[in-house]
Amino acid sequence: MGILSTLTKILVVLLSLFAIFLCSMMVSYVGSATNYKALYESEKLARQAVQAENFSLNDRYNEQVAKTKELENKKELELQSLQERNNQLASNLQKTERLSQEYQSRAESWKGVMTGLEQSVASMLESLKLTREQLEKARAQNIKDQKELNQITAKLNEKFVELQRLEAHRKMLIEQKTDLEKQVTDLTNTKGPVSLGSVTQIPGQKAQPAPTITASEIQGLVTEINQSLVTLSVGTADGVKEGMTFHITRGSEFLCDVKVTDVDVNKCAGVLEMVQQRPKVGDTAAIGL
Amino acid sequence: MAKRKIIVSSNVYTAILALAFLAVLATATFVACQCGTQYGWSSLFQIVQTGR
Repeated sequence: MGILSTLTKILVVLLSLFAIFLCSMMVSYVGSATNYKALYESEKLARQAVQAENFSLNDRYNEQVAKTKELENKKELELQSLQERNNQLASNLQKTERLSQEYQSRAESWKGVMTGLEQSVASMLESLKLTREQLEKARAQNIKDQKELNQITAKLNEKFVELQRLEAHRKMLIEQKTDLEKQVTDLTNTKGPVSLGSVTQIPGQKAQPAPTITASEIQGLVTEINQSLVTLSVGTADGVKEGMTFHITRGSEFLCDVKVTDVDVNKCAGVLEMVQQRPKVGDTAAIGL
Repeated sequence: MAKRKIIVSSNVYTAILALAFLAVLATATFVACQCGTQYGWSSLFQIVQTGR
């Protein structure tokens, strides 16, 4: 029983208690210790994720920087072009304003001119109206005078024809008188005085009328053509009167009619009617076909 | 009356030593298990390297 001394026993007990105390301390420490490996792994993963995100952000940043530079260059060019355009537009605006002022001044001057023109046109219209009225009066007077002139011309032509007839008769009488005087002289020289026959027309005895030309025998030629007015080679001496209608033919072909509106001694003029063909100078004009 | 001396048998001290030994053993086992599960079983006999 006396193998272990008292000191040994005390040491055994104290050593055991100290060992148990240390073990409990160790267990509590290890149990509550942080798992650094897991923490390291999680931090490593977080770091890798952050690095990847950083790389992608860097890429995006570089991309955005490149785009920004490109846009900046583009915008700078656009800005330059816009500035040039702005300068050009400003110069154009100045030119346009200058032209506008010039045109406004021109418009003012033209306005004054137009006002004067309107007044002059109004006065000219008034004078034109008066002139037309005077012209109408003059035309009416002219028509009236023309009718009177035609009547006077017709009467004059009749007188002229009668005068020509009387002149011819006078010449014939003078010739008869000359012949009779010659006969009387011859008889006086040969037989002595003889009774003279009547050499003058016996009063009461009708003079033989000059041969008259019937209207159906009048025939002439076309001498002149002026649009719708035709001149013929027959006149009052041939028995033509105003209002007669001549038929114009060429050979056996009917061309047109001419209604006589103006008659002279040796010619007459008329207007075309029933025109089948245009007549020519030299075509035949006759009253009867 | 004479003072009686209490005498403890030596088996009690053996038991105390055994208990202390078991406590130390259990602690070592626990620490080893924790180390193996958290840092790998290879870390029992070598220093853990960083996984770079």
